[in-house]
Amino acid sequence: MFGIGLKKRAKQDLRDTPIPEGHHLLEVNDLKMYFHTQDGIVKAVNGVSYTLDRGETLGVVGESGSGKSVTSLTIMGLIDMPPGKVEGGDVLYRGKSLINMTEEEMESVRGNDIAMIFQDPMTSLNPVYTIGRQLSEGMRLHKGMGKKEALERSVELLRMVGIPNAEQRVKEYPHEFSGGMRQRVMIAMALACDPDILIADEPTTALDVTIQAQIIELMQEMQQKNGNAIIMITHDLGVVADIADKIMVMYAGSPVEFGTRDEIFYNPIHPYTWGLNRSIPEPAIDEKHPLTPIKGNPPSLVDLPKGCSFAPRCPYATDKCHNEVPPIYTTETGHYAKCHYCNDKDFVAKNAPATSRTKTAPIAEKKGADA
Amino acid sequence: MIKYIIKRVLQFIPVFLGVTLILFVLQNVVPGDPIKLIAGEKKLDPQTEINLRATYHLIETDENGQAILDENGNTIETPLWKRYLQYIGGLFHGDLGRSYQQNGKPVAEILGEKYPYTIRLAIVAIIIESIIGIVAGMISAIKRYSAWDVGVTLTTSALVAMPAFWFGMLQQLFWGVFLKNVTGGSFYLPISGAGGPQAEFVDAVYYILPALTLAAVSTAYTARIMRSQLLEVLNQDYIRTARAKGLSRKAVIIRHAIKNALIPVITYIGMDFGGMLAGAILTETVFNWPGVGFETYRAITQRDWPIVLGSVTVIVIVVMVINLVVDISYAFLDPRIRLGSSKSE
Repeated sequence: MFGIGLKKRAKQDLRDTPIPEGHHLLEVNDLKMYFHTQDGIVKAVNGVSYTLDRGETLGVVGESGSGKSVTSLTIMGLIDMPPGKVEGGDVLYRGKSLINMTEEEMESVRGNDIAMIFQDPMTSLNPVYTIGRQLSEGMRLHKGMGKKEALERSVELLRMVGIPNAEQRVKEYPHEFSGGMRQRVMIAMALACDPDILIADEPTTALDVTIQAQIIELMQEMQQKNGNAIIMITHDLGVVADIADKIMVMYAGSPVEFGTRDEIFYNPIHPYTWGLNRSIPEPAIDEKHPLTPIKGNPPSLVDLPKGCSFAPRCPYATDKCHNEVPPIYTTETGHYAKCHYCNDKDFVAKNAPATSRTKTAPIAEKKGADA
Repeated sequence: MIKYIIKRVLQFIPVFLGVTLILFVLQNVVPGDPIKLIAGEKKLDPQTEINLRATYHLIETDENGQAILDENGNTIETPLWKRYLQYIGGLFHGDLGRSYQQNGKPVAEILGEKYPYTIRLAIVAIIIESIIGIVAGMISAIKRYSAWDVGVTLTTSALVAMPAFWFGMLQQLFWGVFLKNVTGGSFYLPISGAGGPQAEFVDAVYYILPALTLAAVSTAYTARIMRSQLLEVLNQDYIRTARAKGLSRKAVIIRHAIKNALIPVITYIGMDFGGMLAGAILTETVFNWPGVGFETYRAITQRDWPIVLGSVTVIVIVVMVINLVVDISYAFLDPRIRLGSSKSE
C-alpha cells in the first residue's frame, strides 16, 4: 500500500531544458482564472502578467481575496476544475505552457520544478506520518530514490534548514514540532527536489514575529545557495521590502501596479499602492505620522465595478474612474500601473505618500492622510 | 502504555459491580418464586424443594450442600447481599449459576455452547460491514455527487431507517420464499437455523442471510462515516501539500487520506463488533440462530433469570474488553495519542 503512486518517473526534468531565446524562466501572460459558482462567475484572477528569472524574487502583495493565492495555485495546477476555469492567458515555464499540460506532465513539474510552501505549517503536514516519510516522498517520486537514500537526504535537508538533532527528528511526527520548526520542515520539503521556482504563500503569516524573520532569512539563504526563483505571496509589505526584487500589487483579481522594489516603495504611481504604503505601521505613530488605513472593503469578485475596481475606495476617483476600465500604463523600465492618472506627473507628485521620493509638496501629505 | 491498560482494567471493577448488582437486584424483586417457576403445576415433595433451594443457593447450606435448619426445623433463607457475594465469588470459578430450566444445567455451559455461533456470525457480519461499508463510502466521497454517490446515500438512509428484524423478515420472504417459488425450488437460501449434521445446505450458506441482516444497519453507518471523514480529510491542508509534491490524485488518497479517514471508522466498527458479540437478539430470533442472543430472548420470555443474568454479565465483560482494545488500537493509527509516551506524560 505504501509504495503505490511512487513509481519512478521518466528522468526528463523540465528544469534541465534550456530557456528558449526570448523567454523568461516563468512568464505569466494575461492569466484569467474564473470560478463558476451558483452565485455567478467569480473573477478571482483577471489578467495577471509578470515575468520571473532564476535567482529573482517576486513579491505579490494584496489584501485577502485579491487573487494572490489563486494565481500561484493556478500556476501549480492545483485549482479544481470545475468550478475553476482558465478563461484566458497562459503560463510559460521555460517556454512551455503549464496550462496546456496534461495532469501527468503537471505531476512531474509539481514539487520537482516548481515547489510551494503554504501559509499554515500547523495543518500542512499529515499528522499520522513521520516527518521523514513526508520529506522522502517527493524525492522518491521525482528522483526515483530508494527509501533509505531518501531518508538520509531528508536528514541532510533538515540539518540544512537548521533543525537540530536531525537524525532523531526525522523519525518524529508533526505534532512534536513547533510552528516555526514545521515551517522549516515545509521549506525543506519544498527544496527537496531542488526546484527552479519556490512559491511561498504567506509563509510567515501563522508564525510569531521573531520566527518570521528567521524563516525569511532561511528562504533567502537557500535561494543564494540554489539559485532558484521565489514568488513570495504576502499581505505584508514589510516582508517583501526585505527580499523582493520585483513587486506586484494586486487588487480585486488584477495587478494594479508592478515594478522593482524601489519603484514600488519609493516611486509608486497607483493610489492603491499609496494606500498600502500609508498602512505600514511605523515604530512611532503620532499625530504627525498617522497610520492611515484604506477605507472600505474590496469589491465582490462576482460583481466588479464598471470602471476601475479600486474607484469606490479611491480618494481621487473621478467620473472617468467610475465608468471606464483604466488601461495599463507602462514606463520605460517596465514599471506599470493600471490607473487613468498614473501617467500624470503632477497628480502623482501631489498625492504620493511621504515615503515616496517623488514627494515634493509637503502640503499634499495632509490631503493624502485624509483619504 | 502498560500503566494506561492497568488503569483502564481497574476502571472495569466499579462498572462491572454496578451492572451486575442492578441486574441481581432486579432478578430478585421480580415477583414469583424461582422454585415455583421450576416446578410449574407440579406439587413438589418438601425434601425435593429443599434440595432445589439449596442448589440455587436460596437457603443456607453446610459444606456438603445440605440445608441448615433453624431450631424450628425450618430452612434459613440466605439474604440478598450474601447471595450477590456468592454470585460474584462464583464468577471467579467460571460459575454463573444454574438455569431454572434445562434440568438445572449450569449457565456457563449453556453460554459456552451458544457463544461460538454468535462469535462466528459476528465475524462474518463485521467482515461484510468493513469491506462493503468502507469501499462504498470511499467511492462515494471520491465521486461526490455522482449517480453512485446518490445511490449510496439513498440506500444507507433507507437501511438506517429500517428496523433490523423487519429487514431480516423481508430477506426471508425474498430469498427463502419468493425465490423458492419462482425458481420452482431449485434456488433459495435457508431462512432458519445454523446448519448441523442433517442440514439441507452446507453450513456456510446458513450464515448469508443472518449476517447480511446483522450487518445491514452498521454497513450503512460505516459507509456514511467513511464518506464524510474522507471528504473532510480531502479538504485538509496536508492533502494540498501532498498534491503540491507532485503526487497524483490517486496516490494522495491512498497514501495520505485513507489512514486519517479510517481512524473514526475503525472506532465505530470496533464498538459495533462489541455490540454484535453481545448477541444480536433481534437477528438471532428472526433467523432462529442458536446464539446467545436467541438464548437470552428465550430466557427472558420463560423467566429463566440465571441465564439472563449470566449472559448480561458476559456481555458487560466482552464490551468493556472490546472498548479497551479499540482505545489501544487508536495509538497505532494516530501518533498524536500514542499513550504513555514520554512526551504526553
